[in-house]
Amino acid sequence: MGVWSILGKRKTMATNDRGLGVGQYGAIVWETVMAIAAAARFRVFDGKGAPPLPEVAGEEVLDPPTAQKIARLVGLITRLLVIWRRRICFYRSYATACVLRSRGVAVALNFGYRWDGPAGAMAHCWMTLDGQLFRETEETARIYSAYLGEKDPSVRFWTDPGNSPGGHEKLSKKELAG
Amino acid sequence: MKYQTPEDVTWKNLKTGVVLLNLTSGEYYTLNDTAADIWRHAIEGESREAIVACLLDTYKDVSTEDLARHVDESMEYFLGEKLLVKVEE
Repeated sequence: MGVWSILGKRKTMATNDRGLGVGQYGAIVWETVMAIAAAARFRVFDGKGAPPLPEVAGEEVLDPPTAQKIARLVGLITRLLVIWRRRICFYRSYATACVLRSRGVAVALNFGYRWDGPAGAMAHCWMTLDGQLFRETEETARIYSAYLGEKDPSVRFWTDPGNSPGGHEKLSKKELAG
Repeated sequence: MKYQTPEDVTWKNLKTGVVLLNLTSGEYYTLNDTAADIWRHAIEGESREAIVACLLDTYKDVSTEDLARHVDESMEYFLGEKLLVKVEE
């Protein structure tokens, strides 16, 4: 094995391992902080709508384990930064979607609404990838099972079919539950 | 005058009533039985007078005046929240 083949192999490994390099960790942390800052400007239920997601980058697609590893890192950063915890599901999902979409993984955002009797209005935000839950429990899909519509294919809306409407209730001020 | 839903408003019939969502703003609404009845008639393109007439058959113990007032209030709310828009007949 010559020097060039060794270098070639190392280069290949570095390319495959791109999502895990020190530089990439730094980039992910920075992008997560920026995404959380962007998300903080939006109040999903105050009539400003959901923040726009970046287009899915076409040039790079991560393998599923790397995507999961990045998602875990973004989730950890979100937990550390969003110390007030309100709407943390939204911050986590939005930041993860931004970071992964910029790396070629077409993560979509989902918003679920429900009316939970005495608890009032509740909502949740989660991610899907290729229509499947991404780092989310099956319970979410069970609760928010009625599809309402989509703003575009990257932002979908759901509701709880068992919810109990109570008049002209406008739930726009309700924060995401977490 | 007839009414229709704007393109960015979606709604769903549930067993417990009707829910509406503005896809652009993310605002979510739930309607009780009476409001849901008014909504269903309105989006079928019925005029205000036709809605009142239809609801009189359902709510027989309510006077025409009370029902008309309730329909007017509901339609005003729907229009104000841009859940419905007026269309020319």
